[in-house]
Amino acid sequence: MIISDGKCDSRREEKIDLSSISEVLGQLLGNKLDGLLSGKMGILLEEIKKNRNHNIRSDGGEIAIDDEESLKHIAKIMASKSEVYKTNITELGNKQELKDDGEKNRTIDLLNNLPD
Amino acid sequence: MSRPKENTVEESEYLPGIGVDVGTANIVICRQKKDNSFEAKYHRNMLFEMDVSEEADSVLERGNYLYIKADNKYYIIGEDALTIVNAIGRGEIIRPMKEGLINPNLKKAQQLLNFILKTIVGSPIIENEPLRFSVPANPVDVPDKNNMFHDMMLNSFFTGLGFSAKAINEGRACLFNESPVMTTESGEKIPLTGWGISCGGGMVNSSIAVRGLPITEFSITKSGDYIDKQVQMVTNEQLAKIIKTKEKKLDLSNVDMGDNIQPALSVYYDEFMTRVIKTAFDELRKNKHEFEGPMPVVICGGTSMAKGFIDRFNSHVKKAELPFDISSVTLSAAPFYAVSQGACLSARSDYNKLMKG
Repeated sequence: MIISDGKCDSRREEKIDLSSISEVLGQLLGNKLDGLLSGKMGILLEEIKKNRNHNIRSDGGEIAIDDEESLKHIAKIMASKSEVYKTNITELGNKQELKDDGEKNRTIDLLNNLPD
Repeated sequence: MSRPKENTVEESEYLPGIGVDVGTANIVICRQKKDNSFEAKYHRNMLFEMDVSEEADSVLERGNYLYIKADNKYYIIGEDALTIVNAIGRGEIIRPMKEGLINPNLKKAQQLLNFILKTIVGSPIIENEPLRFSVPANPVDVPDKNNMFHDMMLNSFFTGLGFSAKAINEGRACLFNESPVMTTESGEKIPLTGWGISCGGGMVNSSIAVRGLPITEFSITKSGDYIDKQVQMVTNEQLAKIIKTKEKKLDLSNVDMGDNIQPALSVYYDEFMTRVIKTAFDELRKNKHEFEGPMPVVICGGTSMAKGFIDRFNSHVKKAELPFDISSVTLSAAPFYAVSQGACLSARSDYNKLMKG
């Protein structure tokens, strides 16, 4: 098992969020890890172990995973890289329809003729 | 700006080109739909910070609040930040921006602003999708303050999200959206000619343009947030309550003098209007502008949304010494959305120009 990433700060003790880990690792592995969003670490590990031959490239070099400690370590790296690693937001923003009778398209036509 | 890649277009109900009004008080985005109507989305540009704990977990889960978790903190976002402060009756909301720019007093302001922007703006619908974000002009009343860092930070952030990002002056975005027409003495109609004024939370931004080309642009500090803070100082009420009163109850043509907050809001709206009109007119007099006809003035922005605002503003204009003839002063039909929609029109035009090559 090799982990190399200069940005990892092992002194940080953060609660690991499984949904984030599975999402990030899923992207890295190119596999869908569906069903793990509320899953347990054991299940996640099983999935990862299936892919133990994959080399996962990160900023700092190659990473291969084969034990829980490594996984935690990677999770920390990923969490520290991700600005937002847990959110309950799916559809964001209060929406407002703005009707138009074509006037705005006429303005766009005027803007098309302006220099940048 | 690099050319958008058509072959990456995903099925979307929107046309390429997004406008973002990065306001001190609110962030508003606007897109044009394929049926030519527009859709805006908005969130208050504010957060409430809570330490991660079982109690906080429970509060957030029960209240169905919008939040993000980062650095072992919960940040409740937007409207919900106000709701939760009002509900628990203590604590203060965090504002990543101050007076139109990234809040220099807040250590994590840039990161927090990016949290909100990222969640509201989302991903480009095509590769290198044109995006226009609003920026303030440099303020005339605080000459050593400039928007360079703010502009560059936002540009780099939106570019990082995969957009072809470009700034647009906030007052100009208002003007593009309202599309004023000047009528000359000979009766000629000159399109996209007038004075756009955006009264935001942090600043008032002005842009005068002739045929869409800006002649002069400047901003004035101490806008809506300043009014709120002055009212807070004289009433000792919680800021969240003052904002709620301003937005839900205040009518500047019929102020409830029995209310603890409304008379103070009325006084500081007067101070705001007098100061803004005088500063703007003084600035414009310096340049001795001459135009082909009287100037139409269009106003937008959250601070202009108080009921009775435009009548009171007009009465202050009539009392002032005008720098040039003004034909009308009108409020946007959608004052809250005008800057984002104007920015969207500009981004749509950017897209058209890029596709023409």
